[in-house]
Amino acid sequence: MGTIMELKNINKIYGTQIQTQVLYDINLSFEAGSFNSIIGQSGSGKSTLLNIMGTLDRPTTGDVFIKGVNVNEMTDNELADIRNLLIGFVFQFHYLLPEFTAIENVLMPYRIRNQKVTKEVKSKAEEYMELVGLSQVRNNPSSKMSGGQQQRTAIARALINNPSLILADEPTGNLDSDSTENIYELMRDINQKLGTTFIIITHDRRIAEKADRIVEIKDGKINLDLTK
Amino acid sequence: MDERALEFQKYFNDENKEQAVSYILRLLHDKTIDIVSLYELILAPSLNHIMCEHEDERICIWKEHIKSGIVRTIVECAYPFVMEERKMRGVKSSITAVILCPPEEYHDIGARMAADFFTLCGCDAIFVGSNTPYHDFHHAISMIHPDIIAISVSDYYNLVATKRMIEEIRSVLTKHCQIIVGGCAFQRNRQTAIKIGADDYVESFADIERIVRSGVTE
Repeated sequence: MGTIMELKNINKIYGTQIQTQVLYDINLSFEAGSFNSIIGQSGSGKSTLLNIMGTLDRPTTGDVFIKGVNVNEMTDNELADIRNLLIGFVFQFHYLLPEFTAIENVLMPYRIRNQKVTKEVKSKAEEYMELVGLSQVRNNPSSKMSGGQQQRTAIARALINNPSLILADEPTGNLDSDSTENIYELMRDINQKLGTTFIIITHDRRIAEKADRIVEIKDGKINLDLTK
Repeated sequence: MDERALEFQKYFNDENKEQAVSYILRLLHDKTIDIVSLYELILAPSLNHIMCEHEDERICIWKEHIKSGIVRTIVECAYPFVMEERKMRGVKSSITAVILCPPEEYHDIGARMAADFFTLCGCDAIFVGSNTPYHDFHHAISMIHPDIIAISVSDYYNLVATKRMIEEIRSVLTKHCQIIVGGCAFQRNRQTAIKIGADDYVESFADIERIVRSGVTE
């Protein structure tokens, strides 16, 4: 299916006077439609790596290619477009806006990009609410939902612009084991039905062991790269 | 398929532990099967190809556990025959082999079978078993002084812990020791064995025999 994301010789150094290097010569590529996990201890550099993959941060040196395009050469506005169009984000904390309903939150990325929500897009949002098993509570205020429901809403929100890639940073970090299993099943279902690529940072072995590929980051370097 | 395997499969698939165990013990007693054939032709394939047609996956896991229990009972009951066969083979080795699974690896029947293979090769085989903690084993190494450490891994996620385990074992070894790996986690990609720092990958009695022999001649 081709490569969706490629990292070439990525180094990341924070600070100027006192420098701390957190990533060392990272070379990685991810196939479109694949389901990947990135594991590593706290402070290993995995979240920095995800931020660089998601264009939320820039590497100190090295190149990031998304669908073959070098994003390092893009302006901040161009990067914002790429993020909105190609990448969906799911974080440990859902970051839903509490004053809006679940479905309004799901539609928010589309609204930011296109201003007006069409009937077709509303219907697509409802489909995604159905896919994540929340059609019954789609009009509930997001603040009145359970942690698992809020995370599933966040996943539906990540899907609304039909991203090719979903980057998830500890998506089950705040959830109990049943909700973790549900979120995994949901992500896998989306991966299979829509062909969406998943790169998931996780501490949770219940997620990592089910991924098709496990990349372990240790002290800012790739320590192990396993494919099932 | 081997006729004995077919007969065993009938009882195994019915989860008829009594019949399955009795049948195998009869074969061993009558000497119509040896330990290597029993493990390689009957037990290992049965474990590796457990089929579950039940819709509810939780039932599948339950059934897998029952079937694993049948194999475990057979392997434990076969130990007197392992000792007898070792005597008949007349091979002796000064090699001490330690057989274990990495932390959080609970599937240890393959490791248990491998331990019997080392015994058949005349080694002093020490079966440590499943879920071996990193640090406990460090202390044991200085007492046991193993020549071979065999690590069995079924779940591919546990390869991460296995790599760390191999690194840590090597850091405390004071004499030459071969670290070998085996198990379902390597079946799709055997190169992973080298990737995680092992010296060799084994999947059969012949592989273990080759390694023990090369150790004896060194």
